[in-house]
Amino acid sequence: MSDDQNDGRQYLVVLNDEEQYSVWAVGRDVPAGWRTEGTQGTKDECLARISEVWTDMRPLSLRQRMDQGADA
Amino acid sequence: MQTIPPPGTGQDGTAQAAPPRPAGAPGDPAPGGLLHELVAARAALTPHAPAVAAGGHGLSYAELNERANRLAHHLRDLGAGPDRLVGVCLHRGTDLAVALLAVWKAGSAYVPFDPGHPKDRVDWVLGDTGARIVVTEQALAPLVRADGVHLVTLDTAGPELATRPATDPVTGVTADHLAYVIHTSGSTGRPKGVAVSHRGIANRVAWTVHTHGLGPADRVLQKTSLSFDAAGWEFFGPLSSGGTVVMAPVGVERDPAEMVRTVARERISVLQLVPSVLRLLVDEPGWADCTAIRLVFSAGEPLHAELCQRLLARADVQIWNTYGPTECSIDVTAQHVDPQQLTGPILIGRPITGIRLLVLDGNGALAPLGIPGELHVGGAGVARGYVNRPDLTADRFVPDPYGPPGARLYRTGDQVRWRADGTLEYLGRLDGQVKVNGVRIEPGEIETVLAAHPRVSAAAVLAVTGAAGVGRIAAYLTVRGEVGHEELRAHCRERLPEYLVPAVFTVLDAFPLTTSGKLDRKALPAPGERPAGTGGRVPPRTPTERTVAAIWADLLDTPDIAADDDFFRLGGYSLLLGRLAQRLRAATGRELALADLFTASTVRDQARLLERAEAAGAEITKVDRSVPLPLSAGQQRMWFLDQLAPGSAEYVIPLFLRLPDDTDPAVLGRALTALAARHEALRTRYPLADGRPVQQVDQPGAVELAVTDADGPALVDRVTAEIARGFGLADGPLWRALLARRTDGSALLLLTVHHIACDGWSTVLLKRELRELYAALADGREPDLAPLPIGYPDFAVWQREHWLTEQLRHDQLAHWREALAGLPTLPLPTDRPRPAHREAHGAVRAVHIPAATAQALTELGRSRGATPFMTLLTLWQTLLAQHSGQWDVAVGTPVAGRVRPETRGLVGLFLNSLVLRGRLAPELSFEAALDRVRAACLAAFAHQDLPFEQLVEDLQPSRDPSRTPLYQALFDLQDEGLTGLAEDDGALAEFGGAWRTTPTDLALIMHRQDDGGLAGLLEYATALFDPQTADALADGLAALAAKAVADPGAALATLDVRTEADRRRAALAWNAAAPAVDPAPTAPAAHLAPRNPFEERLAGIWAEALETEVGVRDDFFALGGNSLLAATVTAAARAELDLDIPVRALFDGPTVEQWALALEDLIRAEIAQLSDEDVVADTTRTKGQPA
Repeated sequence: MSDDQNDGRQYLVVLNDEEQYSVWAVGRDVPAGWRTEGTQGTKDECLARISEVWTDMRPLSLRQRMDQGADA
Repeated sequence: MQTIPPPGTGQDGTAQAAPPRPAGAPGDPAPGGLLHELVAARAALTPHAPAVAAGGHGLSYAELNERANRLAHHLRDLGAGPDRLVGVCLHRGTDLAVALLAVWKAGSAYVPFDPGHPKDRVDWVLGDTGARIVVTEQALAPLVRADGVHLVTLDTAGPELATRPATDPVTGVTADHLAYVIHTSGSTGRPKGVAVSHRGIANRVAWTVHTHGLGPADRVLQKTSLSFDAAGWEFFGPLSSGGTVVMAPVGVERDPAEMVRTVARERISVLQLVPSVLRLLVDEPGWADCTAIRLVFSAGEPLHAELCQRLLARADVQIWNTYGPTECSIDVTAQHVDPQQLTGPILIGRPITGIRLLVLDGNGALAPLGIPGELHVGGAGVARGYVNRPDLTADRFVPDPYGPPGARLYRTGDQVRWRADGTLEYLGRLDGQVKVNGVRIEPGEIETVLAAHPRVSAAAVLAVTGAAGVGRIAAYLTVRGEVGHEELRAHCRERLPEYLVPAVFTVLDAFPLTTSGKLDRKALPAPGERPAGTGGRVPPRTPTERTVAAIWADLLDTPDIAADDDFFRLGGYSLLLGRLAQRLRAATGRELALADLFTASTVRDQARLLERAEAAGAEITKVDRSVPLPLSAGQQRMWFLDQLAPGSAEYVIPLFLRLPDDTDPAVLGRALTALAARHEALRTRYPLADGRPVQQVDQPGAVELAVTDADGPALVDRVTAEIARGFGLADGPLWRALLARRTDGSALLLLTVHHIACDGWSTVLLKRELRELYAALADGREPDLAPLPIGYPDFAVWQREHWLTEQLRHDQLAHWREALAGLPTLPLPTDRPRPAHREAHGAVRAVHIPAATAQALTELGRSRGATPFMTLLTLWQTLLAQHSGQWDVAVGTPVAGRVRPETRGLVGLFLNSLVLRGRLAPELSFEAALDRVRAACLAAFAHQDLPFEQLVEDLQPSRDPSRTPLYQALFDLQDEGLTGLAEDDGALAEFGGAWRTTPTDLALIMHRQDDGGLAGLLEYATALFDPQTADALADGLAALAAKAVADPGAALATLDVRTEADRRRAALAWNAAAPAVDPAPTAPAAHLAPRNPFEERLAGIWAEALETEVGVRDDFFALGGNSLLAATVTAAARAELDLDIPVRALFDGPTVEQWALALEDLIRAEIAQLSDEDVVADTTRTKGQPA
């Protein structure tokens, strides 16, 4: 990991429509197509939260297609 | 497929604009289709076109497609499918192309395993990815074998695969599914797996094919290790466009000259290289023959115009510089090198198709033209993330505020800036990540491995750039105690891929710190500086050393190379080893393995390697049998040991063979004669000539064959008596046969052979050939035995003249003197007082380690890079240490000693003994003990040629007759295929009590069982130990194995398996421990001339042999005597006095004064035995006069 992990800034846990997670610095507009998950904290805290919630790293649309394929 | 346009000048003064629509959003098809579909389409279009070439082999598109389909169906049957991972571990060849394609056709993603990577790393990656299937080959199966992992070994799976359909499987795989997972260096100490989708790799390959017009005429060289992502397009660039992927010969990536030859020979048109390799390549001759080459891609590290100009001067090519991280599917930018640019760095260029690039400042704002910022990558190439690392993925793959909704960008950590013409200039890294020779290095990963070494307390790793612009990895360490560079390098090589192994190690007293207490990397000294002052430097002395030094001076551009300079410390790097090997080969005609050069990194060591290669390359030739033939080193040792106890049964090797029930003694006799005719060692005697033994080879004749009808206890008695007969070395014969016709109708043959004519390897040959000779003679056919071009005497002469050179003796002795300095004897607590003279009588006790423990034990060893031999030895040394209370334990082991291939079929004594010294300590963990024992074994095996007897002469010339010299415990792990032990097991149970002798106080001989267990025998000297003690040791070994496996990190002291009684005995023995070996000669006593005629005669005999003046209290060995000379003077005294004098007498009292007293005792004893009549009849007989 890069050296800027604890840069003193506050971050938000964000995710897109594909349920891919990332972090976004507080104070900047969250980009289009992304929404906040609810967690705010240092980068380490946000990344720790993501470790808990992001358990399937496949994009959502792929997961859905594969599930349908399995059902079919 | 959106390429960001070259930045123009926007209203806000920034140079970048958001593209109108997303590039490669999930759900989109891949550009042009998935790669394996393109290959299948090519197979339909041009089925007979060449797809894969590998040496003389090749596959057409139809063959490739069909084989990959069959394998894909097989993989699907095993559970492969979309988003599931399948490992691939294969050497470069047609199978590798088939396997990669098959994994994709099965819908899965491949996880590559480089066959050269250490087991430790392979295991970790297997665990990280959870891959349940690995496609491999038999030879590599041990590397990838793991619990729950199904191996498909392509070299044996043919029949099974043939039953699978040849049609394309239907899998439903899409562009969003994974194509591969590649591990790159990770800063947290472990590699991280980058998961790349089909979209990403298909986009990258399509760019190459379209931009460069790859087509059926192209031949692309596949030479990049599969563990690097760039290997992917070397395969699928040509295969998706109808061209040919040419698999480079193994090792070519390390041998620049061979690579140029390959490009010429294989008519390669497209080649990719890192600049470090290109730099070596351009200097090679042979570019003129590379007529097909048209495109050269450079990637991985900054490229300079000067290097491009050198290439353009030699070959008519287009050069492209490409840039990209693994996280973005190989490459994201490309720049055509302008032939007009003569100097300076080459730009990394413009984004490739399907990729969008943003340069952002620290606040996430677009950096203006010309202003440095961090490069962010979006588009089709962006990977899914890091396997099992959502946190790391979220940190590096971030929201794209300027792109389509929901898009992600990969933060590269690279600092770049836009130029006005829309190209990018690379400026450097923003974090600690470095590149060495094009490969990404996270120092943290290497530091973690170094810190795991038991004697390293802290480590820091830097990448440094040498004079030639080539990067090297430099490690700085603080250590506890002492640890050598070779050991550190070996430690890293077992755990890291070679490109991560530091080239140079610098040990510091303490790390320089900044005022805030952090490591001050800038204050670290330059790595590899020569030690201050040149006083201690030794110039190269031998012609070979001078040759090596001259080549180094040229390659490293460093004058004045010293004999003990280290290649890596002087700026050498692993890529340069290939060229070094090639230059050494050109200068000396000798081929050296790169792995050997890697380890032997000083001028002296490399010169020694060359000399070894030269000697081993000298064929053994037939010598004249009519002149006196010298003994080999092994024969000389055995002859001397026999002199110490003439005719003793200690060195008789018994072999039991079950023969057909109706065995005809007459035919058997002819078979024995034929066997003796084949092997000269079986008809050689060892008489003295001029006081020295010689080999006297007799003509083939009848071999003594006794037949007995005894059985039961009577047969045991007969066998016992047969073995006890012993042999006379001077007169021969040195082998006999006894055929027992049992009451149940079966036939058992006992062969007894003196050790001077036989070793463990020979026993297998003897049994095999005797069976064949008997069968052939009985059937009246020719025996099916390969002719032997040479005989044992030829080997003995070769060994003396070509192999055991002065230089070898000198070098190996120097090693052993250091390795065994201060070696103590093993103070094993004995049940009875140790006899003044060692008694060889032995008994055996079975040892068994059950399969579950044995497998866990060997696996534990393997995790530390230790072979089963080393692992069991660690166990044995630990047990001996616990029982003796002394942790520095030397154990002897036999080595085959058959250096040259033409010796492999010969019966005779080739074996040598090695001393393996394990400097253990009670606080060491079993794992750490494994590391030490392993290092000791490797060093010992590297110096295994010095005959054991010569080592003894040097280190311990005045023997302690109560013990075997240098070691008192022995270990061997026998190869079941070689020794045929299983057959002996039955005979052993029956006749075990009949013949046992033991080679030293305690010997452990193990072999593997079919069920995975380890079984063996503990041989013990019955003069010292009770059976109960042997039982305790044998049980202790198995108990210790279980404990070590259960807790490999626990201190050895806590693995104690002794009883309270054992403990008390150990304490007693330690207090009475014998003094350590002292190689320093004792101070000579004052000279005292002989005082009577008898002493004068004896001193005269000594003086003649030793070629020096002899005083009566001078020590024979201090005067330069050795065991052979001891035998010589004894023989001379025997002849002169007509008295049967044992050689041992000289060892018991090694001065003329003591020897004279001992000989007088012998004379008195002989006189006492003579009857009066004899005395009268023999008054004229010459006897020495007592003083």
